[in-house]
Amino acid sequence: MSALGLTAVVCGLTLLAASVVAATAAADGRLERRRLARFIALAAAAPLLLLLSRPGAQSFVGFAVAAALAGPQPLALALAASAAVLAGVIPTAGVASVAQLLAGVTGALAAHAVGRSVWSHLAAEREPAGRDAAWTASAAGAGACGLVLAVGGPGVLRWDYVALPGGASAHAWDAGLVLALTLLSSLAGALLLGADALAATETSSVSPLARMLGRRALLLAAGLAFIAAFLVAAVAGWIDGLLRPQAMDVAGLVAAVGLIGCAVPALLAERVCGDAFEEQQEATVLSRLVVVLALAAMFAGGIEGWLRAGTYLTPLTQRLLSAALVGFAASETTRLRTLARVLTLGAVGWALVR
Amino acid sequence: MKLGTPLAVAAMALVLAVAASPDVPVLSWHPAAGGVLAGLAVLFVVSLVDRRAPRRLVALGAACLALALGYDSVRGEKGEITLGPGQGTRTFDEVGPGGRALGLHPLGTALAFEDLQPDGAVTLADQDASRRIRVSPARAQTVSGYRIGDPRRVPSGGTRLLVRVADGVASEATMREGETARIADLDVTVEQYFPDFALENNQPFSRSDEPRNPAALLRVQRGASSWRAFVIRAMPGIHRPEGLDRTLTLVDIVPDEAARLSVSREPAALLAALGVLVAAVGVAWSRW
Repeated sequence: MSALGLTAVVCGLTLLAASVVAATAAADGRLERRRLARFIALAAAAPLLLLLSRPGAQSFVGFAVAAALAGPQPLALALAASAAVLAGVIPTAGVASVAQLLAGVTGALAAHAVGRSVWSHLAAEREPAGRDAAWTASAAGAGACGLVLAVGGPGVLRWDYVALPGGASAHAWDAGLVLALTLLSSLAGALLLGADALAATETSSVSPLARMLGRRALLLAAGLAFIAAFLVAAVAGWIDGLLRPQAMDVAGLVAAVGLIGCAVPALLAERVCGDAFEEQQEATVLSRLVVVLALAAMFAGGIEGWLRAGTYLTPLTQRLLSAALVGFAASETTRLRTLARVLTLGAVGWALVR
Repeated sequence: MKLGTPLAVAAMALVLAVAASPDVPVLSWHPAAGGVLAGLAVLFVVSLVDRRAPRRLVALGAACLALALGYDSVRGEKGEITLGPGQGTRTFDEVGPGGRALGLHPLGTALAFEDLQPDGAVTLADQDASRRIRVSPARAQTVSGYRIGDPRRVPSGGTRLLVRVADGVASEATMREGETARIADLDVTVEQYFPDFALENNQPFSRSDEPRNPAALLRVQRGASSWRAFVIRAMPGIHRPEGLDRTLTLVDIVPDEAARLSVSREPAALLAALGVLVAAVGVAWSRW
């Protein structure tokens, strides 16, 4: 691995730490901790600008830097950590693209919109006696399950991970075992917390035992996913450079760690501080900005496609158009806004990783 | 339900988003899918029109984009050409919406393959315009109204054999089946090539077209004398015909490569670009 790649991985891990600090700050409302998270995020994002010279990494650098610049939002920083690691380990082939860079920035703002929407939801629900962060922690656990399944495929269910370094398949039972344990652990956490939140009526928790076990299962899953990321990178040969699918696998596991890492502090603190109305307003503005940026990225992608491939209708522009339409739908609706913003983030993310 | 309600607009946008994605081949599901989508796009544009100026701008942008995409899918042309060494063409393989093959379409000029470079760039000769064009992964070119770009290497199906003749000093040459090459003082001809050599009843044959165990029957001539030699890549350096003081080796096989290029003509590209810009301005101008 090159020095630049290693720097990006270190920056990614620092962004992961910033995400946890930001989540803690959101839970206890301490301003100095929020400033610390912002400082760590900016310090981690600055060296990533060096990777803008790598064509294949531009979109992920754009994502990570924009996410750090836009504020210490835990979810956005968690996904930025994943993007930074991906920028470091992904093959550098390709040509420089403004459209990819803009798409990365769009993705970061979409992640901010989702994060602010979720935190607004949590902050609003703390005002009356009602539900707590168990729902979001359960959703984070379910998201981690999905990511582990996407990384390992059906092989995880047989305690196996198959990598294809240099085109030849290699079975890694150690990575498979840790991935399967991560899956079971995150599934257990998601189910326990989800069941507890579903059963809750007036009190915040029906079963403190289920809540405690779910929380611990999620923390265990985060640790296991972290180990799995290193094992997957090792079996795929990260010293010589990873192929794109394996780089995606490593980044997916870092994202799983980040998702759980930013969901658990609110669960531990049993509360989320913040102004729900302000967070929702910011999420609305960001949602609109996501549509504008997606259209700008599509415009740039169309010009690049016309110049390079001879057509403006490249797969990237089509996916960006799709993301812009989903984002427009999300900015129109007032019901299920958080879900619509998650869909927008998914559509932009899909355009980035494909 | 009224057409302009947020829920209806959001629902239409979501359906159009799914249709716009290249990962969901909606147009290939049913021949009528294109018409249904065009109708939905019109409804979407109409639903966006209201009294507010920014909203009208979004509607105008969406209308331009929808019109451009519709026009290019009906009147535009899209396809591919595949050219190998020594080949030329006056047509391309046209594909319609949803990837349906539409057959050959005239290109309006004669293109001949000249060179495929290591960086993936292809040099073509435009014979009617008497000029050479270089198409690279970073730069498409316009040829008689068509944009030609995105060159990719593809196997052309042919194979060249790298044969070595050694008598202390080794000499090599590549040739196709049926070709003759001069190697040192010998004329070597590839009489027959077996990509996946096997024996049955003492007769050589190929189990498949995949080069898993390549072998070849060679005819070697020096003056009036001639020999036949069987060479297998898996057994290098052992083939020495009786009476010939040379060792023959099938060193390797080199698959022939061709270049596949995308061909497209999109007359409404400018309108599409304008539509995207206007829609972006409209969304940015909307109430935040």
